[in-house]
Amino acid sequence: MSAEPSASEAWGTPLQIYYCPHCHSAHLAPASVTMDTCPACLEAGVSPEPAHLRREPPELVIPFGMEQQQAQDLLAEWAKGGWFRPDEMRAELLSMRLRPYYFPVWLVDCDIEAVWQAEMGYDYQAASFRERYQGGRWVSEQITETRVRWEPRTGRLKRSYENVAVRAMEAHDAWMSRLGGYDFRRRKPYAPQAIDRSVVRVPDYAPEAAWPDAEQALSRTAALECKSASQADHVRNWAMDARTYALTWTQMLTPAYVTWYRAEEQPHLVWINGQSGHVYGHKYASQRKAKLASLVMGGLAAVFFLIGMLLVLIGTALPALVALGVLMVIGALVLGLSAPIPAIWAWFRNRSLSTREERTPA
Amino acid sequence: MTPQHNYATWSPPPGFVVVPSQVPGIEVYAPAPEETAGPEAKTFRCPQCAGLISYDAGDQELICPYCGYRQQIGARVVGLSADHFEFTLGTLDESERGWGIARRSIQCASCNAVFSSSEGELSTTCPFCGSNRVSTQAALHDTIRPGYLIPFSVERELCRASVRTWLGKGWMHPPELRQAGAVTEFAGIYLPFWIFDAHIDAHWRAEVGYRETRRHYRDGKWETETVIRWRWESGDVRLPIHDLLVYGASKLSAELLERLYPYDLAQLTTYDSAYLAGWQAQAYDVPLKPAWEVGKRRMRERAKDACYDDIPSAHVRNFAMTADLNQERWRYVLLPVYMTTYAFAGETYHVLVNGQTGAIAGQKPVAWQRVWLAIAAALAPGILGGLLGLLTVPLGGVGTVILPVAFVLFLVGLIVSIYIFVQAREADER
Repeated sequence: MSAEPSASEAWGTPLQIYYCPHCHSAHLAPASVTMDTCPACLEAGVSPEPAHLRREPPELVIPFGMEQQQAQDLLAEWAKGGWFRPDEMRAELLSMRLRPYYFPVWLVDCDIEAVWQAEMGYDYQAASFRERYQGGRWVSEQITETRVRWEPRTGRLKRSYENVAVRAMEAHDAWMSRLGGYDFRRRKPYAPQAIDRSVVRVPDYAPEAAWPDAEQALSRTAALECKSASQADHVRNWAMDARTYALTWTQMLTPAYVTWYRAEEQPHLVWINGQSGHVYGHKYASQRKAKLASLVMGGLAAVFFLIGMLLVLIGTALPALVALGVLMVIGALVLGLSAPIPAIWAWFRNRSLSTREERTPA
Repeated sequence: MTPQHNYATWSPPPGFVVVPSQVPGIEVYAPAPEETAGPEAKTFRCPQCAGLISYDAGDQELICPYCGYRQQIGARVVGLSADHFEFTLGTLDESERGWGIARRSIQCASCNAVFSSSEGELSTTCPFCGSNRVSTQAALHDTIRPGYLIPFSVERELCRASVRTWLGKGWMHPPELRQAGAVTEFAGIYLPFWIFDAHIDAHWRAEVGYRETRRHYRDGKWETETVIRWRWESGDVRLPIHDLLVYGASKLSAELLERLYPYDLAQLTTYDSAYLAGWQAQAYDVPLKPAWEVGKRRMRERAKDACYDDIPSAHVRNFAMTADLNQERWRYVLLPVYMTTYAFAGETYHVLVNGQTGAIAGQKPVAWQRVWLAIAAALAPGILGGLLGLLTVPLGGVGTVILPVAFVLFLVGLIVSIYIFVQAREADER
């Protein structure tokens, strides 16, 4: 009896598993990559330790659609502009910390025998009419509308489905909405080189837990196929009684780049969809810079106020300076009242971004 | 996806048939299309004696005139729930065509009317002009097949008697019309009608005038002046229009047909060619689109009237409106009419009888000598009285009394004469 191959052997490259006790995510990294912080929550303290891992390698990988340099250019563009940028929100630093990353997706293969029923909608053109009366004359106008005729359909289905994508992470939907989704048609068979220097997120959603999602995905796929089979344009009230056979689960990896910056001692992640280039990240404001701006404005206001008052006093002897003094006092008051605005704005912005970030799971 | 149906033993629900599928491994079943009589036509023959059988209006079933065999018709009364059709761009292509019964199409050489009759009918007289100069041709199949009809329920004999009575009525018509022989042949014919429904959302805008009374003090006295003050107003009117009938052919005058209305559309029955056995039927020669134009014109005029009713004043100017028609639907039906023509003094006159209610609409000649005599009789008291008054004025008091009385009598006579003349003229123009 031969020993079962290890994950490293199965994946074709030496792998180390890192577990984060803070966000409970596990990552795989090639031996060449060292990790001291969790790429999902940026907390330090990830530890190389064994974790439950499917030994078989991913079946498919969506390759990166861009070189790392292109990702750096996108980051540089993203980091531009904005008030009170944190010191670390610099293109060079973000690029230096850039790391290729893969999200997992389950792929389901199965055979289905099912009985289905639905209402299929067929588009057709109908005419409606509008009559206008003005100046003693009628003018008729015909409006062509597209309407849907719904008809009941039922039948049987015996099909094999391959590579139906289903979530492999609890936060799959949140991540897909952040990264803007992937074109799964560009997938390729897995090769060890694909994950070279990359970090791979380990599924936290077991196939058993993902089965209801798989059922829904299969049902959606079957509904679309039955719509095509019926030559319909729409489908509604879909129902299917199905029996599945030859069920297999494999994994697919979807690419991303991840980097981070620190603002007010807090690290913040920035993600790039490795296929489409869509950048996702929150631009926090530097509270320190905003406070400094407020202090400078307040200081200037005090100086202007004092000068203005001085001019008013001198104005008792030189009346021409009174007007200038009054203007400076008014300007100083306006500046003084505006001084807290930068600090308050930065505080509010950071607070709303933190609240939003807290709502989205890692 | 809990299995409740077994793939292997599943069978489609009743009434579903397999339809072509575009994806291998998927079977598609759809409701079976309603059975329709296809292009192949059928002839109604008695299963006992093989004679031609026909629909009997009294018993409302098929009866063999030779052996008395009776057969019920399987159609059902659907009334106002009869299916409507939308104005789809492909309406004409999708609609069923043909009569679904062996019929011959007949064209009248005198008036060019086209109508159809049963295959077995040997002699035919044109129901529109009474001529027997007709030529047979193959029945047209490029027409939309009627979806519903109202079967004849008034018997021919009853119809004949009521028309005779109707002809004899009225003092201003020739007394010869009372003679039994004026009307002999009655043709029972199903006439084509389009029925339209729509909901109208109308919006109007107009200057509406309100009468105002003002008092002025001018040149030492008070004067009252009435002026109309105009202001822009607008409003919305929602108007449902149901079962608007438009005659689907051009041979009969719409005015004459409207006098036959109403038909009780609650008695609409699904079309069954058995109802046409032994009867004539006219196919439409006004297709759906021009018929809808007629229906639409009537609908928008109704909407215009409704908008005017919505305006709280009789003074309106710069009136403008839009009428959005929604849920426009149509039906094509056959309605029963008895038609006859009779000749009098070298002229042909039409008489129509509603085959469902027995209402009569027709033309009757006017005996103008009688009319003039009646007018003379109405005017005579006034004229004679006036002459008498003029003659007696020189005699003193009596004449001065007779003259105003004669004048009043003349005015009354004039009004009566005008009324008689208008009535006679209308009867003559029908």
